[in-house]
Amino acid sequence: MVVSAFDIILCLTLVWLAWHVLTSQDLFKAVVLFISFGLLMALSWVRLQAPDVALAEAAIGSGLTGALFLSALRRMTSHRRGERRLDCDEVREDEGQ
Amino acid sequence: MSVSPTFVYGLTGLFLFVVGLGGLISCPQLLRKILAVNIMVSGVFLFLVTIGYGHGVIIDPVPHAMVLTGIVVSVSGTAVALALACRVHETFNMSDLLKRRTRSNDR
Amino acid sequence: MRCVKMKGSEASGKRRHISLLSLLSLVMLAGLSAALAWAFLTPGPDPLGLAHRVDAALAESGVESRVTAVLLNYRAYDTLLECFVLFLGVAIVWSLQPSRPVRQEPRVDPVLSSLVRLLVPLMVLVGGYLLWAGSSQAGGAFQAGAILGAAGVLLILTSSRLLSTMPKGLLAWGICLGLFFFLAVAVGAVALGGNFLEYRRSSATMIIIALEVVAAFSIGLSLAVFFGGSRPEEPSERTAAGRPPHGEGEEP
Repeated sequence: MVVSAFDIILCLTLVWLAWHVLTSQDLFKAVVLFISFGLLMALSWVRLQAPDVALAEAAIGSGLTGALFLSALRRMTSHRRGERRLDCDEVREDEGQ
Repeated sequence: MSVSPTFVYGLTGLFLFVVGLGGLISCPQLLRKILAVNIMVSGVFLFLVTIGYGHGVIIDPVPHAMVLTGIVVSVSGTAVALALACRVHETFNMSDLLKRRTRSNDR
Repeated sequence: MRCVKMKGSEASGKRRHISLLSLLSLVMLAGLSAALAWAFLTPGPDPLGLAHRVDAALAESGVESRVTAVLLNYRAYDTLLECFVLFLGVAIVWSLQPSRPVRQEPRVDPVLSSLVRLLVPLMVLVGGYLLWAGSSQAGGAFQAGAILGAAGVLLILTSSRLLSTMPKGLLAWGICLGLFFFLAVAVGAVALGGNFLEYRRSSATMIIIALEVVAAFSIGLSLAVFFGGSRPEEPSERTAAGRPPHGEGEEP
């Protein structure tokens, strides 16, 4: 395989996506960018002639990991609105001083 | 001079590793740290498979098998880390902690 | 990085300190990437050491696919330990989370439920195909397990109490099944006079296929449990679990 423009664009997009996953303000946006990062990784596995890894990455690396992140994000944000436990108020007082 | 795919993808793997490490160090949110670790892991996998690719003539299947195992292990690690992060959020309410800390810095 | 800079702009008192810190980490990361790139670009010994040996032994591995041969024959240790890692992960996730189910809206989107009805049989079919194709081409236990796990995630999305109403023993045994079967094969090989995880050439194909089927099932179940999170309730816990989520009784 000779390196084509496609490969170079793919690699640049991967690095760009990784950067934006880590710097975007919104966590939800970061998770969605991470899922697309996983899909592009699957594409690069295909380019490197590793179809087994590509299948696993598309299903696990982006699909299931993304679902895990989204459900965790939902649990964290729904808790923020909900009730608080007593012990964490004490910790917050300590930390605030 | 022609650029080999090993060069391009290997360097990408390295950069992904470094970017992920930077995010792991500098981002305050736990979820973002876990995302950063996942990006680091992707970089390592990309590097491994690139080494197995060689010159594209004979492709080494051993790195592929290692990466397949690694993907499943990394999703297990992510699940454990996310469960821990959720627990930390429920117990300490991290968002408030961060707000408090920055406010006390303002004073 | 920008995260640190944002924090720094909010906290005016420590701005200089934090930007110094981020500068330091940037310098460190640049140094690290330069060192890694140097190590990568320096010509070393040819890394292609194993492809020829894999090909040479492929005839006696019992399968035609090179990756499957590596995963389940040459380096079956890896896969055994990976089953153990999955088991550990499920144990940790279960022990970290309360058995009280996460509060969730009782009604499910009709689009989602009809889509799931359509997709899940198809996904099980695709998983079975990948398992079957794994012995000769791309595919195998991991991919099939991933597809089955994704089907499980979809099922959990439509009925949030699916996992918590399942009998706990069944779920736990299903997750352990892959590990136990693997260990049984390994110990059986020792008992028959071979090495740990060494298959006889005549029965290698059957053993690998059986291992793949069981491992795919366990991997799929574990991945779905990772998503489902909460541990299934004991009957005694169910009455003592505190207030039920609103609008949803404690139906069996």
